Amino acid sequence: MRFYILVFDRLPMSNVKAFHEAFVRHPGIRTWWHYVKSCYIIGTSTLSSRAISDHYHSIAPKYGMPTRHLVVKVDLKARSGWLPKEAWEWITKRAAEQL
Amino acid sequence: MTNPLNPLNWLRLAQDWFRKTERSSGFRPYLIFLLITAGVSFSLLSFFRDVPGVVSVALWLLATSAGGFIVLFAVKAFQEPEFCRSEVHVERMARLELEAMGSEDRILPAEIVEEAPAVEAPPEAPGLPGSAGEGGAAE
Repeated sequence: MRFYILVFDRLPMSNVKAFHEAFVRHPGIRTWWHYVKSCYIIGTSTLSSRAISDHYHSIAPKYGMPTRHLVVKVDLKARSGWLPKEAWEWITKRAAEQL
Repeated sequence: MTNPLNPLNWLRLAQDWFRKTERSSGFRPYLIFLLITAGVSFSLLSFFRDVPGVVSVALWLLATSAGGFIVLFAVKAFQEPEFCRSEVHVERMARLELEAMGSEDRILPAEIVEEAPAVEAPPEAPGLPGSAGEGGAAE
């Protein structure tokens, strides 16, 4: 499984709940991580960074989310920072599945 | 594109509008104002009904305040439905509308994620690709 990070600059009154539900519903998204408000880590076997970007770009305006965003492939094994314990547990677990 | 001939579209529009107005606290000052003017009007009608002109003034006050605000709110409801929301209300609704955070196997309310204590990244397993010279957790 490959992992991509999606980053955007969330607007204060975006309909984030509906956006989240629509975004993670994509069948190509096998696993997701969302412990930082304006950031997702996506685990996928079928989607490219372009496909994730297109998916985000197609639904973001409907929920008042910004169209500006960044999708980059990430290496979960090379990580650092300060986050809740559960966030690290997910990253550690998924790092083993990373291609 | 909304089809004006489809009654379901009108129903959906009405539902959306009511959903917005329910989220707004803008009707609160409207009701307070109406209560005040109604109180003044009924007081005038009760205590000064014999004074010439008072009845018509009281009725005019009641009618114009109610009618004026109905028109004002009708217009604002279409232009800017959230125009009179209080900051506390906005904050509360924004909190309610926070998305589920976490991950697919552990979905958590955003409030819990935000209040959870942060810990530093666990040490990387030795020998993993990318563990040397990257990240900085073990630095």
